[in-house]
Amino acid sequence: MPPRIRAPALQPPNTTYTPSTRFQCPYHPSSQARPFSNSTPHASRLRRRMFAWLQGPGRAFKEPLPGSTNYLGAYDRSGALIRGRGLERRAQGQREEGKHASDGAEDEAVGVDALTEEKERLEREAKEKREGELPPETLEDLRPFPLNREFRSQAVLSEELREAIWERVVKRGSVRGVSAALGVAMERVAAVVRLKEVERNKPLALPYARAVLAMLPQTPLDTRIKPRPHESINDLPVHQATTTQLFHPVSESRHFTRVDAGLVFDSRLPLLPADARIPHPELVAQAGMTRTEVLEAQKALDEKEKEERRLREEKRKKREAKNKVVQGRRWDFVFQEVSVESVGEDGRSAKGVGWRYGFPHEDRKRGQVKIPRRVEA
Amino acid sequence: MRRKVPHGLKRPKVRQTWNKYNLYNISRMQTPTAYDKTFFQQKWKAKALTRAYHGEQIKEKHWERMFRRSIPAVVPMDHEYLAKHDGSELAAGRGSGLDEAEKGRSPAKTPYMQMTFHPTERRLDTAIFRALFASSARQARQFVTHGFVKVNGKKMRYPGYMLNPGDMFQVDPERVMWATGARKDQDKYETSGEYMTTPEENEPVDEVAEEDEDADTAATADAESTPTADATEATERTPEELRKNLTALMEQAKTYLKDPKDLSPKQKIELRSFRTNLKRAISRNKATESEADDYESQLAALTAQVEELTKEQAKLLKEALQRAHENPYDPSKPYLTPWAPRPYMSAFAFIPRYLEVSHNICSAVYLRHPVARPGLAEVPTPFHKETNQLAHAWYLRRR
Amino acid sequence: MVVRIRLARFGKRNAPFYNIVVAHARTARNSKPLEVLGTYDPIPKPPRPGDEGGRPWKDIKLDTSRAKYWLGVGAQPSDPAWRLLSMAGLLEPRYRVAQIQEEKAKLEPSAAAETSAAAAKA
Repeated sequence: MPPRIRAPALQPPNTTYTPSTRFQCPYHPSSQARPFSNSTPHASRLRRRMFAWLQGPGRAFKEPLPGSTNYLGAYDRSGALIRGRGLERRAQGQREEGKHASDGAEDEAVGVDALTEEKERLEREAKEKREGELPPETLEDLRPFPLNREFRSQAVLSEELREAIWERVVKRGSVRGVSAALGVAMERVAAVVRLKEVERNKPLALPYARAVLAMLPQTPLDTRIKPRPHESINDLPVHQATTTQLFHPVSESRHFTRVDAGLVFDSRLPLLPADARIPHPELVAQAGMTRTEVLEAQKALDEKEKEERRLREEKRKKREAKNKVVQGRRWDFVFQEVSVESVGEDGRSAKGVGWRYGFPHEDRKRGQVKIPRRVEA
Repeated sequence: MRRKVPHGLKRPKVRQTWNKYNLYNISRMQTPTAYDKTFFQQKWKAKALTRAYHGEQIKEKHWERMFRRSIPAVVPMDHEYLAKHDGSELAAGRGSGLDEAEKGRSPAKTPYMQMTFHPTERRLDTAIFRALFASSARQARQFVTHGFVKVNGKKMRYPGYMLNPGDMFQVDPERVMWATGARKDQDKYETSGEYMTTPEENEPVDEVAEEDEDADTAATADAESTPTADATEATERTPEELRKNLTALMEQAKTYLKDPKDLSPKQKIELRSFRTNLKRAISRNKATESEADDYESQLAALTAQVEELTKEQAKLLKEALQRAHENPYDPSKPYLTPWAPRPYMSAFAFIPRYLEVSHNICSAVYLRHPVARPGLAEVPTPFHKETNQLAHAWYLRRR
Repeated sequence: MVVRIRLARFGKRNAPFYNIVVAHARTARNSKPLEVLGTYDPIPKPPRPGDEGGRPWKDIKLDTSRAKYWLGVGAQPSDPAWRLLSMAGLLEPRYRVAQIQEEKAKLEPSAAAETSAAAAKA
């Protein structure tokens, strides 16, 4: 039986292409890549749509938008920048004007010194830049995921602010004080100092860092006395006990405070009130003070922090001084004094010195987690 | 790890990558319909979608062990309010109708459900992707297993390492530049025409681009001919000649300051000679033959000679020279040089607040675990809260 | 039977770790000893944060008084144990580290004398 030939009418319409409208795949664009084959790879309707989107509305995302972030949330369906709509129209008008002006300028500029021309051009560009600058991003523009309205790209510390944090911590010697003064969380201040220390003796990947920072929203350095905070520094963690509902009738006349509320959860081990659980409780104490008093209080706190650090350091040094250090050729041998009694009566105490006897290693066993839990800094 | 279809268009799954397919999928993403599905079906679908994004490299059993029904959250407190009130103001006057007056204002809700996948953000590979050191979570994972990542200064080869608050992780900057930079063979695709669309649509665009490029190359060729011609001249030079030379160099500088991806390979090679030319121009000028070998002081000395050089022009030259110094053309690198970000990177460029990143040294510190706060969830997830809620309900194992 | 002070290797492949033990000479290396005097970690650790010289270091834990007692009752240290105990100052040094120490001690007084002489001249 001869093979059955399908009637052309039965073929689905979207698989037939005329050569002129055929989609060409970008990954095999040249015939040199596949000299043996003339056929273009299969391009489905979906792929065509995708490339149409990438050429149309998606084109804006290919390159970063100079001087701004460039997220999906900032564009409408047709790929126009929402906050730049009025601007575009204005710029178009200006461009036409500018064209006429530059035509005239070119005629005059024949024979004029190249440097003066350059100067004029720069001025013109600067003017255009000032007028054509995009308005700052709204919260809507900072959404990288259109469906998720609860997430937005948050600002990172600018290079100047990081430098300022490092300088202040070095000068003032207090992470807490700098954190409160600049509105940056304490962990972040400490991390910036740590990273800056590493940065000092390492080659920098500057082109990468610049390009990435240009794509991100940034918190600039604010030199005012009360700068705009980078983030909220007094975050109260939600206690697990408070996530369920709890009914506790209280008479209306009773003066029911935060401390009382903490007692409701557990009378013997009450929850601490918010002013004790926030990272910067000293700010609550300083709220009613005058400016000079605040400065004094902060100074005292800084001193206290420094003193604590000094004591810690002293303690460590004292502990280390007990150790006997023998200098070798390439390394030191540090002898630490221990006691054999620490193994306990039966010789099996976990606190005892040395590798324990009679305790099997289970690190090769099936089902044991072999990934380290922590890495000591 | 089972190999999965990375970027399907038929049944699209959104992944943790900067791929353009993925961007397209995010842009047309919709919350799945619920009216024609049972609750189980809704949860199943939501689980499938969310798991394709959040740690698709993690085995399902492993993720089930990682899942926590409790979700960390914080409430920002105002210290001035705390100092002013002791908490009794919330209850005061409740019985006499005061609470009725307050009904109008409602504080922003804390999006707990958007935090369903918060344990995955603690993983080392995810954190590397979030810090913009890799272009996908899979690539980040490969960096870890191939030994390019250090945690607290020690090599860490486990992508599933759960970062502790205060851990610093570093990725080899060369790897990061490769992962986030444009492809080396980009120009081959750019100049080959008919890029991503039908030929009819593309032709006029390409013609214009080619014309532009031609003009540019002509400009640079002219510019280059001036200094090379000068090289044959006698060593003594008048300020005018110097100025002429500088103008030519400036032309080159301008081309150089353009986005490096717009340049043709030929231009790039020409631009490599820019630095050499400028250096030669500086060294041939007798007055500036000082010992100072850093280019900035040399340039300052040179610009001081020519009064007509405006500040902007001097700045332009300096900037171009510095850029050439920091971001040189280097064919030995596996990525496009001068370095430029890869396409479609900017749409994905965000850094969550639980990381503090120093891009200069490709290092970051994991500050704390991600938290939810009123109106904001710190876990970056492309899904609607309903989808995440359904996924959360799935893993509560009450089905 | 002879009592020896010796090292018992624990740890893993490429990550040795030793217990300094007192044991009968003919017992197996890792069998339960009479007493564990301390430990010796032969892998150098990166310099301590407060350290001025920035030199790597090796961690040794030792109960000196018990070690002295065992030496006093005639326990015989093995060669590596001798090396460690001599560094701790419990035995006469036989090996390099101690030699270098001695040389240094010899050099230092002369260097100190030179500087003082120079100061006096100035």
